[in-house]
Amino acid sequence: MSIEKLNSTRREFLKTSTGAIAAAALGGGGGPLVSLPLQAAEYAPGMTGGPLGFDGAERFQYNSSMSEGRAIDGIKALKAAGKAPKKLTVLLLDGTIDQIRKPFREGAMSPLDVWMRETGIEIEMIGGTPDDIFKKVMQDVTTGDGAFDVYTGPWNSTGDLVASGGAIDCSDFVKKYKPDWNDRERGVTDDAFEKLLYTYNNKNYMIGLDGDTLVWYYLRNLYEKPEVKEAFLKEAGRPIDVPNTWEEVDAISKFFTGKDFGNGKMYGNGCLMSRFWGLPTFYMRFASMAFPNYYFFNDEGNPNLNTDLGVQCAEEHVRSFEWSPPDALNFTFLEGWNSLWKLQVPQICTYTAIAKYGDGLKPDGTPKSKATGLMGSHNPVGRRFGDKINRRAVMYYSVTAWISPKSKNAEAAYLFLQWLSSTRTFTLIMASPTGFFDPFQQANFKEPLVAANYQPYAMKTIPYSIARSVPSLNFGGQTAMDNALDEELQAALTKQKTPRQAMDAAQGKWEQIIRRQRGKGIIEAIKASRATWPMGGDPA
Amino acid sequence: MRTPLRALVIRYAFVILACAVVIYPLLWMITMAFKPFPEWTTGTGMTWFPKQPTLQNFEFVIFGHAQGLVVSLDRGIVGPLAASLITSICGTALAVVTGTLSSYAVARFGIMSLLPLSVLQLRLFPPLAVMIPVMVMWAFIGAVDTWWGLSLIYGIVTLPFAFWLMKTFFDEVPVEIEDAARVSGCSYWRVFYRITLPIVKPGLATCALFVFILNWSDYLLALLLTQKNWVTLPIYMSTLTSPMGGQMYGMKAALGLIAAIPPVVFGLLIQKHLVRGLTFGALKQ
Amino acid sequence: MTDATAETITDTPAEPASAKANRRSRGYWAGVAHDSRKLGFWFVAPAVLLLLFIVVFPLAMQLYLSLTWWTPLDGVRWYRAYESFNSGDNYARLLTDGALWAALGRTVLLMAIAVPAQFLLGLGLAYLFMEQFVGRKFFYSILLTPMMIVPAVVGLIFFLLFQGTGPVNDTLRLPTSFAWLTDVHRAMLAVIIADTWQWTPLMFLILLAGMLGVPADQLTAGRLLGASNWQNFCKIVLPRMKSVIAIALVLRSVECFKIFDVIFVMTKGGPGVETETISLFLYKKTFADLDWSYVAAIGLTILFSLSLIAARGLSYAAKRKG
Repeated sequence: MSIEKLNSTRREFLKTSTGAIAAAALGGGGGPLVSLPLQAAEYAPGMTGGPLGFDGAERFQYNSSMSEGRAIDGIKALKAAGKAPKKLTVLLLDGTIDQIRKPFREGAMSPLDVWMRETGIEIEMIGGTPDDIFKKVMQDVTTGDGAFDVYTGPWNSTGDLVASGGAIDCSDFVKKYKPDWNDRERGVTDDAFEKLLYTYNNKNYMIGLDGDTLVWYYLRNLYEKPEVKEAFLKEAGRPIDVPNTWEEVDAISKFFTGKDFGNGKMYGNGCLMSRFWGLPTFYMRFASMAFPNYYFFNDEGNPNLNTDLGVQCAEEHVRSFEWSPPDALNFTFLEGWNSLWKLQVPQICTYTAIAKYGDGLKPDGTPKSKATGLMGSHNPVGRRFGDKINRRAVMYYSVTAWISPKSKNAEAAYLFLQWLSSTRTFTLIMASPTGFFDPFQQANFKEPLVAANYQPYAMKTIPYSIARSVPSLNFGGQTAMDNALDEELQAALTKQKTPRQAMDAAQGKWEQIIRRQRGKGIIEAIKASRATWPMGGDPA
Repeated sequence: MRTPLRALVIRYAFVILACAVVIYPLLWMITMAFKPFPEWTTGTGMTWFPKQPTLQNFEFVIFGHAQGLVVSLDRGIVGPLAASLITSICGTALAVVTGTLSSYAVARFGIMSLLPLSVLQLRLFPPLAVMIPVMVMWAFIGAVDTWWGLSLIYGIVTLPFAFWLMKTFFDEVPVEIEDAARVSGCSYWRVFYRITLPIVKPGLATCALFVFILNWSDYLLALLLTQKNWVTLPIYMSTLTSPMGGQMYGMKAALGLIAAIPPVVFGLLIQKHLVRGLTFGALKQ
Repeated sequence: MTDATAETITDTPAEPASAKANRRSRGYWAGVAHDSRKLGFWFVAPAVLLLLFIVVFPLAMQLYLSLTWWTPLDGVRWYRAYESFNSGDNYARLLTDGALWAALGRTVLLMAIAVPAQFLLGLGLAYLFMEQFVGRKFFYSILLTPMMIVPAVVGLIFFLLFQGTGPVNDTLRLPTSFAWLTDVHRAMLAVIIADTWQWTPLMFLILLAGMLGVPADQLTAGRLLGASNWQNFCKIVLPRMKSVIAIALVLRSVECFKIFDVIFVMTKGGPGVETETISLFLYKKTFADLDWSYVAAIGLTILFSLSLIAARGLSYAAKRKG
């Protein structure tokens, strides 16, 4: 598929997702859905599996002609052949376990209940933290212990894992059981994105469970306050509006820092700047430095870090830190979100899953945070090039599952993952008021329960951002490269180095890693990664 | 001569100051353990004492979930607590027994004069410098994520500590006492078991306490050698984050309090020996 | 103490006359009990076994890996590392690796500040506790508590204390923008404070034990000769404590060199690499960079250098004793 076509399909994706907004509006943001039967104790006609016990359950039910149904049938066949295990052990992010294990609402069936009911195979879920989970995976892979059937971890690390022989190729299973990831109506929108999430080196080494694209959220009501409008106009010489470019973001950050609009002293920059969490913030800024993209590597596969544009980006990144809250260098995305909910910062750009903890009402009717009802979400920002803006977001982390080569139940593990990641089950997971998995499938954005959870305003911006996402590093050596850049950025942020010194040092480290991995296809991987970047620009 | 009163005032002033410095962080941890979620971080004004004290943090770490919290954990405290206790105790037993026997042999029978240096070397370098082969080896013998695998490495890394501590104690026991017993017909074993060991009992208790604390405190070895079944308390604590509020400081503080109980109880149990055990080494100066 | 010893002796029954006969009937083990060489052999055997177990294979593997470029990313098992044999390049790299030497420098800096600080504070406290006073036992128990707290928890407590909006800035009346853990210089200071908080009690305990070991009659004699407490302390107590002081300093230095938990929880080595000590450096190389052959080379080098130092130190100590 050509890149032009890719972008047009991505844009179509946006059109369809507006349907979700309408549906969500109908649903009344979490209230009872109007036109649905009161109780669903039985499967809808023609359906053979799926959740029961809540209004709208039929939207998540399936039969043998659907992806989930095929997975369940596969398990049944394994059982009949005596090849099914009693238990599968899965290494998961702590924050995602409840999404699978707990029902989204009192009385409803949780995804795990459904699986247990239909297969009887126990799923043992072991938790890990986002920044440490991949160490656990590598530990298991390299020491040959084989404690897990399924690993999950950052999508970026797939290259490292595959290079170390830590993931099996599921291509045959995919052919055999036909998951619905590639359903353009319900799954992901285009080939390139599908390749990115589910394949490495054109083989199905991984199964995407997450859509970790950075998305902008902001305090909508704050931007609408008369005193804010007036003060901003006076200071910046133009009316305040949601930003379209990094320049505008920085102007807003600068404006709010130190001001008090009734909720205490504010800080302007809510973007994450800390170790590990701040790295995608930098990548995102970096990607839009040139039109249509500023790649992390040039055509020959050499890093672009210490070019003039690279250094300029680092300088901007470091300067924006002046407007960050104190302790921002210790924040995880959770502390970052917390500062938004305390109305301490006007915006944040990070993973979407946490938004649902701060906006909306608790079951007892009280607001989830001070920011409830005040929030909005806006499109990714970029830079102005003539009459166009190259809005760019970045895909980073994105929880991904791999099957351990040491698993004795690879097929059963695959079937569990297919069932879990198929559009009906995954949409049910997205209805959960908790958890780290973010929505990314078409079906997610069309589902009123998801819209009620993630808020209608985000049903448009999330897919819009996904369509403009550049992939971060995802090839063997990535962990070392990300780590090297991260360290240098932190050194620049804490004024140990100038941005140029930091970029020079990072460039050197990257070149060294590439040299060492040269014989192992790293250049090819870099070029392949370049081909998956979005190419279009939006009208300014 | 200075007035004793002035000296006394100065002494108390310094002692109380020192205690205050010790208590300051502890107090923050203790009150944190009873604070509800909104009071964990200090972004919106800090308070030393919980405005709305709660036992929710303890409930959560003990059962893995708590009333009124949307988040829960993959496990409660029971497993990690048991894992910590079992591996620390077994590791301590291993280190103390082998350390006592070998240090006695070196101190009295004069064999293996290289042993003191060798065990010292074992304690000298950072474990991370050799963890890769150890991980490989542990996986090879099937010891990763087992109670005995962790106990074994605990026993090994704390052996030098036990060896050297016990050696100083044995060095202080007058040889004449043992010689007297030998003359009256006791075997070497009997002299060791019935005479020397009871003399160094306070030292032994002190040694056991220190080794236990070392094992109980371990973070790194358990991080690298456990996966799921035998995860210990410190590792369990480090995984306590929730999508709701980030790092679960209240729960971590509650866990920290609970984790302080075994060493404190152990310390109290042997308090009588502790003072004697420590003065022991300096006895013959 | 002598009382207890005397007691134990009288408590021990003399060996009955039939013991010899018994011994013969019990065979090999009875013989062992009477043969110091044999008994000694069995006494050291378990410890030696443990030592060999942990030393032989890991050393061999480290040596082997350190001579190759192998990393888990190669996708072959470690025993096939010979395929990327590099004739000692890792060792050459180690000599010129600025990051490694910087980490080592930071570790030494930390030791150079933390250990003397803990020593002086411990010594001062021990001096205060030398004599009996009301509440001594109570204060003594309080002062020992930090030792009982798991280092990872200590790291967490100090992480919270040193937040810009945390209690330390509040108590010291500093602005919330006064960063500790994210400031280049103060981050290390914060780590040193945490380590000192936790381990001064151990210093105190050891040094107090050493002081109490000084015979009371010598102190009384000194006082009769007109010496003040302070003179007594300097002239009589300190010289007698030399070996205790040496033990305490060595013990803390060794543990301080290996410091990991507290820093890992407090700063993860940050900001930048400002608190990255040798253990954190190795951790990063092992798990983030997956540079295992290099870690092996560093590990062996550290092991070799420290062993040399330890051997010199021990022989020096032995000479002084003799």
